[in-house]
Amino acid sequence: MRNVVWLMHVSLDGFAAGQNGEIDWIRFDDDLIEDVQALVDSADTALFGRATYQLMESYWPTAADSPTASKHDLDHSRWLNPAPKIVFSTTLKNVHWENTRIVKDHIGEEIARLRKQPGKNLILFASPTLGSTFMNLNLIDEYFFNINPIVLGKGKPLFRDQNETRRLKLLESKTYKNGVVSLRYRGGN
Amino acid sequence: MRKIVVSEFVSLDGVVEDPGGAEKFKHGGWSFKFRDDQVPKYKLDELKASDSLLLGRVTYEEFAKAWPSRKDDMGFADKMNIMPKYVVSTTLKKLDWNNSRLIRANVAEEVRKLKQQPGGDILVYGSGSLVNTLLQHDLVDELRLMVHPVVLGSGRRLFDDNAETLKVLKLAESRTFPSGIVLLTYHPTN
Repeated sequence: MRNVVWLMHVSLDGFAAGQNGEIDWIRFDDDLIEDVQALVDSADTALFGRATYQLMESYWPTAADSPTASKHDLDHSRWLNPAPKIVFSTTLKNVHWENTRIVKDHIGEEIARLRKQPGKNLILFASPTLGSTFMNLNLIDEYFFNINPIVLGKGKPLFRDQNETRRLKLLESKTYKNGVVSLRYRGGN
Repeated sequence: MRKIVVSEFVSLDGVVEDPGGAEKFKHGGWSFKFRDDQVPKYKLDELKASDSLLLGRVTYEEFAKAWPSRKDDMGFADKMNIMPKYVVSTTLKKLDWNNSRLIRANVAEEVRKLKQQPGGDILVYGSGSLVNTLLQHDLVDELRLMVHPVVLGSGRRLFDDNAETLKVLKLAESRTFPSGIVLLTYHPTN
């Protein structure tokens, strides 16, 4: 069965982005990129909320064409551009990225349908608002949180409006040289 | 110079309210669901390595009710009851818990003075509002977060949701406990 995996970079005070959507504080290094890429490779379908989708759509379709593209840009483009992408939004009208479709409602049914299809995991990239909705619908199987060593003070919170207490199982914690700690949990209750 | 060491039980969603269950919070006592034999040992070593407590009013009141009547074989309660306690509050009039003294005003300045005095490390448990004041004044030398594998969904969070300044930290250590608690230790850098 395909799992839904949520990949999220978060500040120590629980923000997914700064007040104006800044994500420049998110730290990467080669080891972390390698582990994230392995996680991405365990999936074959990308899921997004509207805001994260639009940010990604403005970058990834042409990221590999730039002469300054990094190895990560190239590797991730090779996976992300052809992959089936689903953006969950009630307001978005058009998408301009290949192999992307919009799902407006019945999120739970959509995920249940996808789970039954053969394939690899479904990966939810960032999308803090959608992620919280997924949690409330019990749709997340695995969490991959990268805790960055920074207190932003204010910004876009990761966990909000959780209906119930949710106990998770720690699968792994790993420390990177750049001070990021990745915490991997199995979902459940 | 003495160090200020902040040590917190925190849920994955950043809640620090009432891990011990004394404050009538609806999830009160949440930390007790994640116990293993290494956590008490760690907490005892941490306490033994410190020589004073610095507490905010809410945490002080909870502790002052619970600890005087406690006793344990490890000597945890004895140490809590005997050691000096500095309590930050503008409303408390008198402190009944043994060896406690009040800091009424000029918190940053008073804490700076404490740090200059001879002695060992000063430990801060809980005391969310005080911790934010200390962080904003760059008075925290070490921040230890015991991240519990639970999303509580509601409750008071450790970090002020509307702080003016961004703080970059340095990860000093991380350690995983059998119960799934991960201890993250940071040193502020600015």
